[in-house]
Amino acid sequence: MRNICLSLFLTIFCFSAFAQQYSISGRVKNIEDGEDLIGAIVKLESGGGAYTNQYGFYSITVSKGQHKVTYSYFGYQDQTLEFNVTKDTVINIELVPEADEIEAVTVSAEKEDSKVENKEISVVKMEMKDIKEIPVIFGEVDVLKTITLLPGIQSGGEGSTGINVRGGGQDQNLIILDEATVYNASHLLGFFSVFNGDAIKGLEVYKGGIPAKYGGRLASLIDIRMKDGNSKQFAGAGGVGTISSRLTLEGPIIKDKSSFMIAGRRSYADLFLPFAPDETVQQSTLYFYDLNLKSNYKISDNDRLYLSGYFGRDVFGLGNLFGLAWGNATATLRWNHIFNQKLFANFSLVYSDFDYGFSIDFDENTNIAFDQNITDYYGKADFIYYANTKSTFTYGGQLIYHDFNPGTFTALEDVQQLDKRKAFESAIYIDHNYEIDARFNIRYGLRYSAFANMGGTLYEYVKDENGQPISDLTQETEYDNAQISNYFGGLEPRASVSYNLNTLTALKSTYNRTIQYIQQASNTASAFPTDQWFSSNNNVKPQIADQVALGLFKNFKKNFETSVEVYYKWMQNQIDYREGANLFFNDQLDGELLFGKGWSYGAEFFINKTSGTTTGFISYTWSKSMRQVDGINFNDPYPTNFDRRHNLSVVVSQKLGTRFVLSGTFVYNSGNPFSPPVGKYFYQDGWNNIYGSRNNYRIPDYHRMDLGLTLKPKESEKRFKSSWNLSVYNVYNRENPYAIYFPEANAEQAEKFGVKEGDTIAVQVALFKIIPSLTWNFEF
Amino acid sequence: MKLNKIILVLTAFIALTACEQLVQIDLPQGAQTIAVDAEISTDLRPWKVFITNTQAYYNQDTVAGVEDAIVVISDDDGNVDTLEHVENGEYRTINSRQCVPGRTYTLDIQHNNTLFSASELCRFQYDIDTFLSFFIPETNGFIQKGYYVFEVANEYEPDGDYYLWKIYRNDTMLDGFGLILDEDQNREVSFFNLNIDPNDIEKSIREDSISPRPFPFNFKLGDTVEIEQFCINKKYYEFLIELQNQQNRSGTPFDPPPANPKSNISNGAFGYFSVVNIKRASTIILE
Repeated sequence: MRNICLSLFLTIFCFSAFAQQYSISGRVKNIEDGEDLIGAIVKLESGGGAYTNQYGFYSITVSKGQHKVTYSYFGYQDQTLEFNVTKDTVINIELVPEADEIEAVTVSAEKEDSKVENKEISVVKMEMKDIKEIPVIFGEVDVLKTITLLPGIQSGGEGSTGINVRGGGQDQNLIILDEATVYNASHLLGFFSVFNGDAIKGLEVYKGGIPAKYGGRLASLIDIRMKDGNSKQFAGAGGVGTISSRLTLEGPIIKDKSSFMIAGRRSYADLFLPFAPDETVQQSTLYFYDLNLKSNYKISDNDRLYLSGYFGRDVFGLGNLFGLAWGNATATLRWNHIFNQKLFANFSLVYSDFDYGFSIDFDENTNIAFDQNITDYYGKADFIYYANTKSTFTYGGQLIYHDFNPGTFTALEDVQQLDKRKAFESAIYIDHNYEIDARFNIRYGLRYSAFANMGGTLYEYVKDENGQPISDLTQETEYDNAQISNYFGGLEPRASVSYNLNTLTALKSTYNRTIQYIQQASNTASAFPTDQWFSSNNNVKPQIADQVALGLFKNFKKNFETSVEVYYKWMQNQIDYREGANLFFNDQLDGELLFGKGWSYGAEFFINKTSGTTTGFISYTWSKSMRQVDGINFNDPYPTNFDRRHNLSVVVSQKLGTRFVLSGTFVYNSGNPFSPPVGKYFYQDGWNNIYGSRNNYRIPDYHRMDLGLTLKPKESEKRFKSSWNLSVYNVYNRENPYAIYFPEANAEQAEKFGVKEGDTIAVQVALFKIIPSLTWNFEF
Repeated sequence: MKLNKIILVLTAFIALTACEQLVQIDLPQGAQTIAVDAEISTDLRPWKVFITNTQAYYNQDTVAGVEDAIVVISDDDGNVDTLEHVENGEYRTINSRQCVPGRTYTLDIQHNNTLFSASELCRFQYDIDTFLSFFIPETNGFIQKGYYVFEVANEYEPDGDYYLWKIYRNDTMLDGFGLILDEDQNREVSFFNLNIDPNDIEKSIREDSISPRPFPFNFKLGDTVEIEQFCINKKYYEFLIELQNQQNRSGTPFDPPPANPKSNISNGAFGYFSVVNIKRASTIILE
């Protein structure tokens, strides 16, 4: 704390000493519900300007005299103020939504031309109201599924909310909800994401050009923000859908001073289980629920507190016998403080927990149970110093305490416990954004991250012929909990430049290094909640990625944005697994791991029509993602499970009259690589498959079209409004391959497929055929 | 509880709309080689080695035996046997043979100018001390009421032994669990019955310390139960485990990448040459 105060003092002193000008600062909000508007543009007529930060705060520096300032935000009416500045001035603005624009499906909620004006590259920002217009499976709005329609972001596959960003693994994305890490972002094993659309304000995805403020994962930052809660009036929203229902209530606690938001959701997928042919399935329970809470309190004009929390759980039961549950819980307490008109700060205390457990109850006295969890506690301090109109500094630090319980196994009274692990992860950073002139902008920063394992047992392993650890131990060393058992640290430079060729065209480039110290042990294409998180240690070096990206952004007419980005990424210390690796309840996990390198590259194309009666976007990505790990694939490079050459998404939204909106999505992906048999051999009275090189074949291509029709309420003065949404997933009933397997036909398969028993066959499984769904949404 | 079952149920409501279909895939094809199925043991009988050609995946012809190989089994005591081809890839010794614990056996197959070779040690193991039945009077959650068997045997070496059991009820090998593999980590074959006192079984039952693995079968009065206990090598154990895993996979994204079980035969042949020490015991289920 002393250091923070000292740095704060120095900053204020240094910059104040040279300040000859005045500041205009304040917050930009939505007039209807008082929500902060993030990324709103504050533009000076005389040149220069600023964007509001994540708390809707802005600060610009002007000289003494008359100034004209325009506040704008996409989907809202501009507001221009003219005033004479003779001292530091606070201007809080409330913008009025343009009712007509609410229907548009747009990716960026910023002002038209903002992609060119905005200096960022490899970033996607979406507001919830836009995401809600895109048709989705089972009528359930899903922010994670929606972002996979964008270039460079791939879905983990049907029935998965896992995502892969620019050739990175699913555990290489940092997903944060109001700053708290969400370790498992999926419900029902990946069919839904944990983010309730009604509770979410919007999100930002950094595929590259990650600001120095963030770190800890290699591939991306997915920053999801909850709504603050309507500070003007009590309001509610909800929906009744085919799979789940939800209700959100929000309102002022003390008008314009404090507000709350509470949102709940519960699925009832298990209502369908009695119709299943399998008796075991009929007796099962299967549901999820989640709860989002947020409240904020304005202590003074310069101080504001936010408290937010998430709690979600998946529950699965097989008769009375077997129970399985997992869930996230997060809590974030934030204090915004405006030290002066140039210095904005936020301090956060965060708790995040993911736990997973199952139990088997044989009878009253006989049961076994398994539990594992990862809990993080962290503190953060972030400062934004608006030095002048051209120069903004962002700096701060964070300290995370990780508490890993890889597994507790209880059978009757016998308890087996895998080594609990504790670690500190910390970082300090500084980032400087400097507008050299109206055309040329640079942002550069440096992050130093460090990681220390505390206590525990360190294992030394016998090395195989490639120098990789193998599961026989040579040495065990125990450490006290207060002792650092090993330590890592590294510098992560970040830089971006942008150059506006003219008002409609910009060229941007970025480089960033990211380091990742914790990862998930998953040997499958889709991660399970059971897959344990583990940290870097004496055997597992931190993962490091270096990425460069170059982009050309061009706007046409008034409402077409286009962009092309190319990237190349190098990844060190990538992890793969020995054949037959045992990753479950294994204290000596490192002996199952293999280490190598990865690289990925690609080109991303994007066309976005932002306004008019027809809106939408086309996104196409050509990409390649490779790994080379000694001990796998004869030490040759191999494509990752998610290496897809072509990814195309087309999203269109068409207004029909005043009340109907028709929207459609078309998705086309190259098939995922997999390793089919290249032959068979006879052993012990049966055929056994022979496998060749890793991922040497691709399943057939994936494509699908979804349609959605929304009927909006009539214009009226009534507060209660409801709308209907009809979505049809996979309208042309394409049987996309979910899995292909290669069995020796048993009697049942022989009869079903008309082959001889014992024939070796290929069977394709398709999950979702055409699925219509109807959702009734309301708000008041 | 198999994870596969969990996935099945978790995805069951989706599976209401899911469907399976036969597909013809233009598969890449690996080079043809041989597969070997050979097991020699401490039982006195002619040694047999089956050698077959690997086949394209979609080739549905019956397995093609390799008929022109030279097959020799030798041991480190200087004994050499050349096996003769009988039919369709089956080679055998003319006379009965039995492995001697402590010796290492080598299989050499000369075929198409390639030598395929494998060596395995025949491990020591003690006789099974005790093989008895007992009755569990109440279904206790882990196990149904009924008659069960357990065994006690000492471990010859302090570490590294792996076992495979076959269980017969009235001379019929039990299906499903007929082949049980267990990594013996507790230095005693009777790992799962560690707390059973053979002299006072009832006490063990009262104290709830019976968990009748590795023989989770419910027998009837009068059944003759026989077990064969195969003492095997770690590599063979891992081969069998991997073979079982491969056969259980369903190709979903929740499967690990497939891999060939690691053979002990050189030069890229598939299959395994195993040398096993077998001990037997039997009992009749009585009241």
